[in-house]
Amino acid sequence: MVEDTALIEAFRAGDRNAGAKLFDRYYASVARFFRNKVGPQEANDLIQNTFLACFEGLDRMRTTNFRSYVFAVGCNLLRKHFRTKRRHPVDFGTVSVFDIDPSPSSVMAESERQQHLLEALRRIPIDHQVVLELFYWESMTAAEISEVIEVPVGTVKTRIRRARQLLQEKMVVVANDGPAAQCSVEDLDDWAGALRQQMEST
Amino acid sequence: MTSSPTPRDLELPIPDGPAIDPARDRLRAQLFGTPSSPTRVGRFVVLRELGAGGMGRVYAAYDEKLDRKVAVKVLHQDVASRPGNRQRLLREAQALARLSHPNVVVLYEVGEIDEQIFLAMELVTGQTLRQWQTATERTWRETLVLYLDAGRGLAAAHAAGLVHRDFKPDNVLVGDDGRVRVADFGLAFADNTASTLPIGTEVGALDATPPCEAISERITRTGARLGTPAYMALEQLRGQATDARTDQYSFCVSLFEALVGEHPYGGASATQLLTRMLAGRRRPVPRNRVPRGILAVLERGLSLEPGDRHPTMDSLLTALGRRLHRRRRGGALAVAGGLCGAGLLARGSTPPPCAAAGSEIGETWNESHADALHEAFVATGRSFAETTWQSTTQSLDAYARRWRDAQADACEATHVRQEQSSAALDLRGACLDQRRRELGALVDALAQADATAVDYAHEAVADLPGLDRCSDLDALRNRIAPPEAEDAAEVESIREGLAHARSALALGQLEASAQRLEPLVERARATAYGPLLAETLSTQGQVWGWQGRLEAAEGRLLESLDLAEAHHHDELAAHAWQHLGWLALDRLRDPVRGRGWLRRARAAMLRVGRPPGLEADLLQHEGLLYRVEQRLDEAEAAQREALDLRREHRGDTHAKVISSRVSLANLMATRGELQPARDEYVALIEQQQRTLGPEHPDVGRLRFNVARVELDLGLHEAAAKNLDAAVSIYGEVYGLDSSRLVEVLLLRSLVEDRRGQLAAALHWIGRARAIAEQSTDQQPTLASILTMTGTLEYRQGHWDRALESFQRALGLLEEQPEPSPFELAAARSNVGDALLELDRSAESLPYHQRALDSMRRALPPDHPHLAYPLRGIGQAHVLQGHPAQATDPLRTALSIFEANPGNPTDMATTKWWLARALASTDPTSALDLARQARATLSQQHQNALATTIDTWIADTEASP
Repeated sequence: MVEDTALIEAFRAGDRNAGAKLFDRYYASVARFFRNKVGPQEANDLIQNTFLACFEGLDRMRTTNFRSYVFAVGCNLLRKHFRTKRRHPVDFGTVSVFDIDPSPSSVMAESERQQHLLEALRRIPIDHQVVLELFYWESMTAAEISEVIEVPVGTVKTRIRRARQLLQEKMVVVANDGPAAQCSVEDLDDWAGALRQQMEST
Repeated sequence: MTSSPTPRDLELPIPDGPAIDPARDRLRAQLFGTPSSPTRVGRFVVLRELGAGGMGRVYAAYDEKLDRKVAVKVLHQDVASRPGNRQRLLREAQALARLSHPNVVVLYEVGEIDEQIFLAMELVTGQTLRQWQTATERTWRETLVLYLDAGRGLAAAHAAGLVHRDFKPDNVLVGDDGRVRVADFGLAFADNTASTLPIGTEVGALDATPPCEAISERITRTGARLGTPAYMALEQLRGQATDARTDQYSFCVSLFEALVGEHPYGGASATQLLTRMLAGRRRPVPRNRVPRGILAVLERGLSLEPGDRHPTMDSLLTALGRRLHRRRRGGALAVAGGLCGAGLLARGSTPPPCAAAGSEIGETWNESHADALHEAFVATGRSFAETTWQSTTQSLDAYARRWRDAQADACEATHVRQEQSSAALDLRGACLDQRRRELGALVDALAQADATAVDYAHEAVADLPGLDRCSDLDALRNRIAPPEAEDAAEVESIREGLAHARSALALGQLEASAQRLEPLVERARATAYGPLLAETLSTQGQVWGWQGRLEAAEGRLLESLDLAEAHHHDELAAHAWQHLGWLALDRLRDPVRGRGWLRRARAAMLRVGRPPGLEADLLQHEGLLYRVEQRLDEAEAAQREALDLRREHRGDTHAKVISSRVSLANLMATRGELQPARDEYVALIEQQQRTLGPEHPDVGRLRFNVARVELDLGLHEAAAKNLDAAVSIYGEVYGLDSSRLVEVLLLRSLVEDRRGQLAAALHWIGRARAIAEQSTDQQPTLASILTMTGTLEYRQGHWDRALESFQRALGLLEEQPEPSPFELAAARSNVGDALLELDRSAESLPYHQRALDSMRRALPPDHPHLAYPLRGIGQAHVLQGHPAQATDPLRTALSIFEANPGNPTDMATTKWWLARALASTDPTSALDLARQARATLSQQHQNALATTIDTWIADTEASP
């Protein structure tokens, strides 16, 4: 596989096809990122704006890691989106996606259990949701995540730990009548592993 | 109990198929300039793209003229622009536009804009059936209800003469209103008709050897356009004619997959799928909650041959609907089961109690076994190995499936339905374990198959013991006492060996089976466990019977029966009595004993509760008995009953059903119902060619049988053709010098004889004779062959050769310990006739005289056969100048011929010799007789003799 950096070089040199390849590589990740946080139409707009901003601003890209770069742009757009939507400042350390829009996720999960996990993710504070998703879904290291959300690595690590606790609590809330309540954080590790495998094979 | 779910349960939460994410395509186009959506299609204003598929793109659009939202499908240009496609597409679409059915998407309009074909359809908001069924767990009932609706849509289209050709869950919409609608009708033909693909001509040769590459290529090509070929029927993949039954197949694949969770043929790639389909190798059905009956109905729809499917969609839907309602009427139990299932599902992590029941069959029969069989079969060099392998593995698959179902049913009966005790489960389990052992032994033997085993493979699988008995608790509870604890291990071990010996027997490996049995019998005797000894002895008796050790076989079977009856081993007794009956009838030719033993067999069969398999076998044996006894009506009734039973319990294509049909056809032939017999043979040949391969010896046997009938029908060409094929099959399978060829060659010779081709007849009989000369067990046959040869040579006028043949035949008969007196006499008479023709009348006289003497002792004085030696004696006397002594025998011969008009030449020659005998004493009568003889002979084209008589008449008239 051609490295991201090589594709970026090619795109900068005018090869549109290289850009399309990058787009294909990250579209699913970005789409997943937004679709579990906002409604379908908003998600499409955000996906679009993220990629437009990414490719327009490619020359100003500071990191060498395209993945971190895309998500940094995406995160900023997401924050801006929520602020606009609520028309006042939002504390992303306490407010969850669910608090902003309690309608269920538009993402169709494959199973009831998966649905519970998705719903629980939507109920933890947005900052925590983001690190957890980046950590598990995108397989990012704490250092990469710190580039995305612009906080120190140590804080990222603490936040991941905290986020796992919060998620477990919310799992109980989401599915207090089902077996998912018994899910442990160890399950989450397994789950993330499975997800990672899936993603690598796609 | 563990509650942690396995991570494998979980999948990527966002299903983002690239083709159905229009936002993605649009964005990609916006960024990098790849195709984007139009803003208008004619008068339709495009609102957004709904999706893109193999055939084209679909947009939500607004119809300005009629002020409504519609879905507009714009076909890819290359689809629409292929020659012929455009007209057909428009024609079908217009037919669809006239169709109005709640379960079919309404097509408003078809048209062309800018050389692009578009279809304006009802805009359905909702999801595809595939999305619906994968979104969350659905019960089989919910799923079936929706598919029934979709099926009604298909049926309505079929009634309007339309075929969908691309039915799959992606082409069915489930509206937010809950209504199911079938979409994308009749579009697929653009890619799926033979006419558009040049390989359509190649695939016509598929029946012989599938050009796999051609179809693979087709799959790849169609796959590229239509997505997955997984829902296409074989005829469609082959590019052959498609019709409503093609849709039925696709429907059944879709529903099967929706219910069971797997494609019935599976396979990771298109090629793999195709390979499995061509081999008819279905994947084992995973455990599921779907009622068996529903899967059975689907299985028929999944038949590879369109003719084997349900006649119409309607009949399929009726059958499915019946199952749905039957279960509903089932009431409490079904509902409870459903709730229980939901509970289990919600807890997610605990497998249902019997989920894994029966899975151990996978150790006994699986893909790698099938591969091993394939290798062994092909290695034998049998030309039909491939075909036979396919049908054999199919039958093994089916047996393994039934086994697993039986095991699961036994488990569920105890643990889920709680209808039976654990003890009952153990009984059923033990019975099934024994069956599995038999299966394992057969699979082992097949994996080391020699050529003979390949010949018998299909039949051997059909002979595997039935599984029904293992769910018959009454029978199981009344079973024989188990062995003493200290014997148990040895008994198990002997049973294992016995299973292998039985497999060898079933595969025609008699010597191997006999050798295995020898020590087993001794070991069984040592255990003092009577039932096992009975089983061992019975098997040994069968093997010996087939080996021709008839007396010993009878002794073994009777000994086995003593033990079986003493130990209440009733089922074994029923089998052993039957086998004795067969031995008496077919081998010992003793109908009296046969009848007695089959009576015992019937009583034993009734005692064990009339299992259908056993009863059918018995009826077939009884049919044989009646046939031997010339009670043909009863024979036919018995065979028909056997056939019906087998059809009911085993399905139309089972080897036992075929065997019954062959018996019936043979019976019809015996009864002189030649045409129906021939029709049935022809159908059977066709069937067996498909199942076993055109060069399988069973096909050869059927060809021989049909040729016999065809000979009697005067269809000499057809008979010759079938016999030539039979000769070639037998030659290939058994070797060109095999004694099995003799009867075929004899019949072949007879065909030429009937056609008047004496030289050809002599050629064929010469081949038969060469084989018979070489083999030790063909001496009686050799005598008849020599007699027939002599007769042909005699008729050709080769008296010296004829004499030699007749003399050898006579010599062989005289060597036999108990020659048939009549045959001996006939042989002597033949030798005498040849001698007469060679002007050796003095020598001929004693032959005729001895022939006459022995015939007079055996036959009534006016029996037609006596005429021949009488005529010979008279002839000899005339030639030796003793006309007075010739007169009496010739007069007697003449009166016999007159009373039994047969061959006119016989009577004419007798008259001629009588004329010669009377010439000096009664010239008037003599001339009269000579004239009569002459007239007949010239009618019979016996011109040489006729001329001789003419000269004689002239001379006699001229003399004073």
